[in-house]
Amino acid sequence: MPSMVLCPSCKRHVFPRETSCPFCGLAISADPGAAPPSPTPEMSRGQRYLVGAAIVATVAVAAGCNTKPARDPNDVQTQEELERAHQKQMDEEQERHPGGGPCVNNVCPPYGCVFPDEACDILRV
Amino acid sequence: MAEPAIPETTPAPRARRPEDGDAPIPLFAVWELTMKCDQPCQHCGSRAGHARSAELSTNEVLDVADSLARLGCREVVLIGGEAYLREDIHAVVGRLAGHGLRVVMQTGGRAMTVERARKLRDAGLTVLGVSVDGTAPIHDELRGNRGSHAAAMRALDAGAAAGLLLTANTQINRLNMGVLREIAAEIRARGALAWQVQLTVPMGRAADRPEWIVEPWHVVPIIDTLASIQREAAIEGQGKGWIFDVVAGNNLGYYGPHEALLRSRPGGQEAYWSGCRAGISGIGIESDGTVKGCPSLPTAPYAGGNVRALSLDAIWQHGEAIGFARERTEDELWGFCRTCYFAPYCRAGCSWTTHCTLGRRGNNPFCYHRVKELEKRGVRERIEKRRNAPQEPYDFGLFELVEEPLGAETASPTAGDAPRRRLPIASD
Repeated sequence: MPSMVLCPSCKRHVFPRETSCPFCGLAISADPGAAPPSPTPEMSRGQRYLVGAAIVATVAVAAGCNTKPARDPNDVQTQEELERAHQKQMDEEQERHPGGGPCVNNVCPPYGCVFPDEACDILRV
Repeated sequence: MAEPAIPETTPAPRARRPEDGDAPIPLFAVWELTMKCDQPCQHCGSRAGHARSAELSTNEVLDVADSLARLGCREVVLIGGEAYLREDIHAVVGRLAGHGLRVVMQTGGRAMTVERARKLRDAGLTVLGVSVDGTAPIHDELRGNRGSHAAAMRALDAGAAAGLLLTANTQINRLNMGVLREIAAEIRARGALAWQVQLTVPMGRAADRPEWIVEPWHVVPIIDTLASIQREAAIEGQGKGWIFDVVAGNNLGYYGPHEALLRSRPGGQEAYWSGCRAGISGIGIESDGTVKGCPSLPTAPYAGGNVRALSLDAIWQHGEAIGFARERTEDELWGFCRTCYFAPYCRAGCSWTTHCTLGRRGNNPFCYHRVKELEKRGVRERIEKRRNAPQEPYDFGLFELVEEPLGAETASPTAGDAPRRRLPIASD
């Protein structure tokens, strides 16, 4: 099967038979061996990286310099909620097995002191 | 303006070369050497813990190693359970390396000391890949093991001290999809050269935690974030001799504007998803000798044979379940994927993901292109659990696809009474 062509404008892949990009409409060269036309004068790879960096920086500034991806409001748990739930679970487990029982969520594989040279107390659940 | 230097790279062993032609060759093997594991990961697809009752002996493993080399394999990733828990691990690594194969170990890293890493390197191990699934509290929650994250970090340090090439991999789910940047920063600081990312699939223990599985429409912000991390890493890597490589796993895609970026090596744009390679370029071997076209595939529908009954060569050549991807056509596609522009190339993405979610392959809702196309119609899809997994290694349950308006209040993945359009459910 012939290789797909990368639209230089929208960076979507298109079939080599296409005369124009079905996603952005850019005219695609009919000659599969020829470099596809660019909507603007071709930038070097370095220029593209720098433009990308500028866009990232601009977006970051526009977003109040918060580079952490926004959490979707539909996410199941926030990190704080997760930490609290995790701690609660671990505390309950500790109460059930004061000596450090081997099971977590009813899963009981043979973890523990696997190797005699391991510091098991560091890793004990 | 000066052109930034892109580091020279050699062809990846697993990449198909012109001299390979189109013939099926197991260029890339993932080998579960044992089911024995030292961590109780709550999302483990194989439900690893205890060793299987009948795992391959040392002699049988070495025979399989010879067969892989004979079949043209160039890279073997050793997994478990924990591969390092096999007492004969050094002999196995040495045998594979002796054949000229690149040997990689993928590990949770709980007991990966510097001494152990050095012994593995001396035996012939080249790459150590450590699973890092979140910041410490998230990682430990997923692993069901307090201190697991700290151990994974120590494993990366141990690998670096031993002179191994380091990679990391992350299963992306609802717990960690908001901390991808933090994970990337952490592993980069410890010297990881590459980061393979993939979605957590509802297989094994993960099938018991549907609330952890991302919704199909989550793939867009996830992939956008990963692309942003890759672009920034490319800039920061200039002049350092290498660029941190964000590698989209087989179930993360497809055909969005970041497809080439996340599937090519840094600086390139040559690669894109070209269909499931199970049984074409990839092979998976379970610790009891069962052979599949891909290690992640559920065992029951995809076992092509066992090396105790047939030679690996015979299974590779003639195992019906091994070769499912070799001759398949668009006829097996259904749902949205059947009418998709990319259907001739994509074939519904990752077979493992689709089969474990919807009961059979051929329709993949976890797709960037699909989410964006549905968005144009003002709808999105989510999954609802319908059947539990039977609690066996590499098992899976069943989910139903539900189409709903964009921005609908998110229901629980197990909720079943929402008045929304239900899409066809798979049946075998």
